[in-house]
Amino acid sequence: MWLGFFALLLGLVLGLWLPSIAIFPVTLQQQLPNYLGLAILAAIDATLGAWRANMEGTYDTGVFLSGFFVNMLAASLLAYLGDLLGVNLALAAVVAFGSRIFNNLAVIRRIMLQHWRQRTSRVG
Amino acid sequence: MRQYLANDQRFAVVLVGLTLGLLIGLQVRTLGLQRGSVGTSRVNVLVERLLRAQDEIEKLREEVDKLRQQISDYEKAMAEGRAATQRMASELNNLRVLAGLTKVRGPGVIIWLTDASKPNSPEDPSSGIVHDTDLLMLVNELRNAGAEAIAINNQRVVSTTAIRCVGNLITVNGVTISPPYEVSAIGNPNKLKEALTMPGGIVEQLTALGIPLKIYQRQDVIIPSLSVTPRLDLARPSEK
Repeated sequence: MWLGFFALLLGLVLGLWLPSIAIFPVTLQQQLPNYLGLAILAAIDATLGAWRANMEGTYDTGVFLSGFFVNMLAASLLAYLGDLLGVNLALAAVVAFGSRIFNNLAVIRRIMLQHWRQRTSRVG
Repeated sequence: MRQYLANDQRFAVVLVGLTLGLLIGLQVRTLGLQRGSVGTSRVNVLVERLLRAQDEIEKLREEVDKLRQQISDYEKAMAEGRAATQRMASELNNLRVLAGLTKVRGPGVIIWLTDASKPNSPEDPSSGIVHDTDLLMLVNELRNAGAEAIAINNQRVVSTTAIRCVGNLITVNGVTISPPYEVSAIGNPNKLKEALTMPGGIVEQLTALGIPLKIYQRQDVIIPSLSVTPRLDLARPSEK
């Protein structure tokens, strides 16, 4: 479990450090946040989905990894396409991922509550 | 939920954690950079800045106009001040001439007259003598003809000058003078002479009494300044 946190921390440091040595062109730096935000949203959604699947006992690494990266790319591409077409497709991705994140959170909450109740009833 | 993670699961966790951290870090960092730098600011921010700068330019332009106006005002005032000074200087000069404080020269006439060697009418011995009143009338006539400066035997005649008889002598400005008398006046020479020689005028009256009198017209008459300074003890300028 801690491995994941360490990896997250390492990634954070790397991400904070990379732009400070200015290896990105200016135009990319201007456009990056528009798509990166969506990618992050997709990543969080995939992670929460994996957590939920793990709790439900249906977790599959292949599904998780593929979903993680494909959703990330898809969300970014969708936003890019929306920019090309002049339609705010990023909004669609935000709504979809947002609702899914809340859904997953709700399921996780319920399962955890159940686990906790089972444990307390067994002890009591 | 402590359980052993399979190898592929560990790999997935590391990969996902790294990627998520990288993305979040990049996002936070680039957003921070964007907020910090001017060049990548959004268009509306730039527009707002432009509008503010234009406002400022407008305000500064108004100020420039105001300051220019002030400068021209000051210049005008300065010119007026200079003109006023010049006017005052010339007025002062005129007043000095009128008050007899300066020696003056200019075109005018010189009247030479003296007592008759023998009286015209033997029954009145004083008839052939030049009296103070004769000189007064002469001066009066010259003034009437526009004389600007008058002197009798080099004694300047001004507003405070008294011409009177003391014994058988005449004093001007308190200084005794004696015949022959020489009255010089600056003014238009022709006008002065005409005024003196008009029919029934002062010259006719004096020559009728047998007093020798000559009038010379000169282009350059020199009249000295007042020998005594008039005193001003009581008279004060009054606004009313």
